[in-house]
Amino acid sequence: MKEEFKDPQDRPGVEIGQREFCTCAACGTKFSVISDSGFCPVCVLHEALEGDQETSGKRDPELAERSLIEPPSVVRRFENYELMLDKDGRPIELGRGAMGVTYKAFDVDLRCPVTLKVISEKYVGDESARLRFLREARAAASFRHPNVASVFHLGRSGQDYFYAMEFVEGETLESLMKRLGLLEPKLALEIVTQVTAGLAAVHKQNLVHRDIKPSNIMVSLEGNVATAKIIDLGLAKAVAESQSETAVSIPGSFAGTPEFASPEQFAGVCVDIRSDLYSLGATLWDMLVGQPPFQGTSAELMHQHLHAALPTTQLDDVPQPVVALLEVLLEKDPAQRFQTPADLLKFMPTITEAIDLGRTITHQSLRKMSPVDLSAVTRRPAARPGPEKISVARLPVTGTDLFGREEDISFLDDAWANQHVNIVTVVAWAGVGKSTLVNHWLGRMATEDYRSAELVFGWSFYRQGTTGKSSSADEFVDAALTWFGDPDPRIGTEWEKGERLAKLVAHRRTLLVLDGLEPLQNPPGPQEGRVRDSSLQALLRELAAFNRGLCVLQRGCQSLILHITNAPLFCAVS
Amino acid sequence: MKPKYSSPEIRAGGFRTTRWSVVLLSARGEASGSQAALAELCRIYWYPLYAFVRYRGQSPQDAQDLTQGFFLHLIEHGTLARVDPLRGKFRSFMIACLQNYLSHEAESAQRLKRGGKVEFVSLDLQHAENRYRLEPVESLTPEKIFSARWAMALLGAAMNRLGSEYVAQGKTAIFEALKAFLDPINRKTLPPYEQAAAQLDVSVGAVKTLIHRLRKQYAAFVREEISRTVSDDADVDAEIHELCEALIAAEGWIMP
Repeated sequence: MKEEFKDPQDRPGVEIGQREFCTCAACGTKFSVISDSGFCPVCVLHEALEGDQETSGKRDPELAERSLIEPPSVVRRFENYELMLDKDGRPIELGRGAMGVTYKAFDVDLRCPVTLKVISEKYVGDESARLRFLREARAAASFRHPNVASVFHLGRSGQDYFYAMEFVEGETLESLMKRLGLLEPKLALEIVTQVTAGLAAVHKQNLVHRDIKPSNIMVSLEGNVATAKIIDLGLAKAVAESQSETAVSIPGSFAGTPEFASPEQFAGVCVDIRSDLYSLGATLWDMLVGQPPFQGTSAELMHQHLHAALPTTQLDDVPQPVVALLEVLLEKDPAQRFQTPADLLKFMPTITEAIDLGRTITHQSLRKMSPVDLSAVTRRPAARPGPEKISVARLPVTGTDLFGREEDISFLDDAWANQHVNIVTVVAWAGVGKSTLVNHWLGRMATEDYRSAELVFGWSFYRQGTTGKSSSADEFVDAALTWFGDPDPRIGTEWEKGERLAKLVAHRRTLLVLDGLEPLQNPPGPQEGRVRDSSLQALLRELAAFNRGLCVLQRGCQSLILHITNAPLFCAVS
Repeated sequence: MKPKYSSPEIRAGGFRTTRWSVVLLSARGEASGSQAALAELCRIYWYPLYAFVRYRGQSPQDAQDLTQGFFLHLIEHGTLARVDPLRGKFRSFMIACLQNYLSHEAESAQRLKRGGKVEFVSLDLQHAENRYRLEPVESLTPEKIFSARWAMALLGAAMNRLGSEYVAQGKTAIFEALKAFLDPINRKTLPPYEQAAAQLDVSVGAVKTLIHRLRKQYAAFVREEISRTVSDDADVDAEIHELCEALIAAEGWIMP
């Protein structure tokens, strides 16, 4: 590259000249090439670092020679981003996930290092993977926060999709812990505070990270000042996703890292931000103890996260206020944790103050600081500002105690156990607690029957006041079709879609809960109580006729007329 | 490549291991060896100092005079004896001293010709000016530019030393044939290994081994050069990082 320069200050004696620049493919430094060497001074200096000297000294001579044999790699370029190369001419890989590979790259326009995530070659041409990748990029780009690495560009280069995000200096918390050993409680709490601030931003966007762990937190330490940033929103997921985005989730698949995953992640159900707070608790535990609370194989970890008591004897050397904090963060029941990162943030100064003053903190005081979010527990769709899009696989695991409903719970249990029961309707006046009852039952199923591969929980929200041709039930059916593996949910009439969904569901013992059907029923008159949505009509008829699973309908007291005549129908009236 | 600063003393390694702090300690006792060692350090890093003076708006001639005068000032006015050699880096010390010196000189109404007929350091002044004229770095702080130039001077010194070592060991041909391979990444017109092998009359495998050794040796010399400018070995890596930062900030406007 030839660049012409003119001295901006027009100093006497300075002439306009021409020189050749070169941008180092390894570190991105721009340097001048006057001599024939073309050496990047920064790379040469880096080779003189102590670590590099040791490494090169111990390096396998064969490997060293091989690296010399290999021709210099061609620098891959994605628009204005060039992948940086290591000293052997290979791209510097920062991470490798299920979806893509993360590289250190260099923005040749802005002249700064960036992190570039490129979709894996094996997914090129895979539409669902592409959607998932786009979702990930959009989720990460939807907000900016100093404690979250920002995504600022999404692009396509040939067949490759990529997105560029901020390059975060420092090291991962995992690496810091390896280097320093156990962290001082104050440093650990500072990191937790900053990650919580980042999570608050994630939460504000209605997202869940789903993979908070030491290797996804970057920390830079300058003296006593620590800066922490959440990286890799690769698993981040919108709490209420659009239909097309939902389509790219894999039902029943586990997303996360077993050592740091929440019980609800293991249960295979949809999670909210409280799951991230649990993972943050496991991360804090790791910082203070040197290992996360539970160890073992994936199956053992799952069992322990779901059922085992915390090994608090490991916390003997940890200040009591931090122990109390850990116990709340690592509550198995999300409702017993802090409900939002903002709640936790409010509480952090109290913890550090208690440590400074040698005070203890009780669980009661923690509870006062973290009032249980009742709306999150009861999940009454009609009472909420309804999500705009339908979401399947969304199970509110409430964990709330339910009193005096044993008979109803037992009834639902029996219905589930009975292979001949296909549909149950739960009918009661508004406010009696139909949703609460079923939510509680589902919550118990989630924790007790998670091992059943055939068990897929479904939960639908619909938009209130839907107008026009397309009803929210259509969206639900389309999303559910995708969820259950329909090749193309867009094909067919509404009725056909309902039939197809019923057939897909019939392949496995499926529990399908339809709550709040009232707006989808015909108004009073000759058609009173009849479901007016043709896809739902078809679905219910087919379910009643063929389904091996159970469909629970919850509705008000008006009678519901199904287009079925010979199906067993159970009603539980509370 | 003919090393610019090779000398029997340097090859013998007598000064190479001398830290600047040791130089300064010795300077208090006016030991002759320490003067020579300091002279060598100053010679290596003369250009960054000269460029810094030019940056302050001095004409080439005045900048040469001021830089020479600064070195004399260091020796003659007991500046070295007042420094705590256990603290800080040679680079920081030099830039701070130079700044003080220039301020003091600016206040002086009548500037005298410095140095008289004493030539403390022998330098290619015209070459320095030519380099400077090609380096219009205006958006950086003078200190950053100084550090970047310092880094380049240091790398040059290490390269010269590498050449000297190979020459001293009778391996001039090897150095000349393989120095182009020193940078593993930014080789622009890298000759084929076969060509180098034919030139040296060895196998391709042997060429690769020789290149590997050359690279290791160069990195070791760079490190050693840096270690001479800091008080403690533990500071070498930090100094490397600082120099890298300055080089990155300079965006290629510093001449190699």
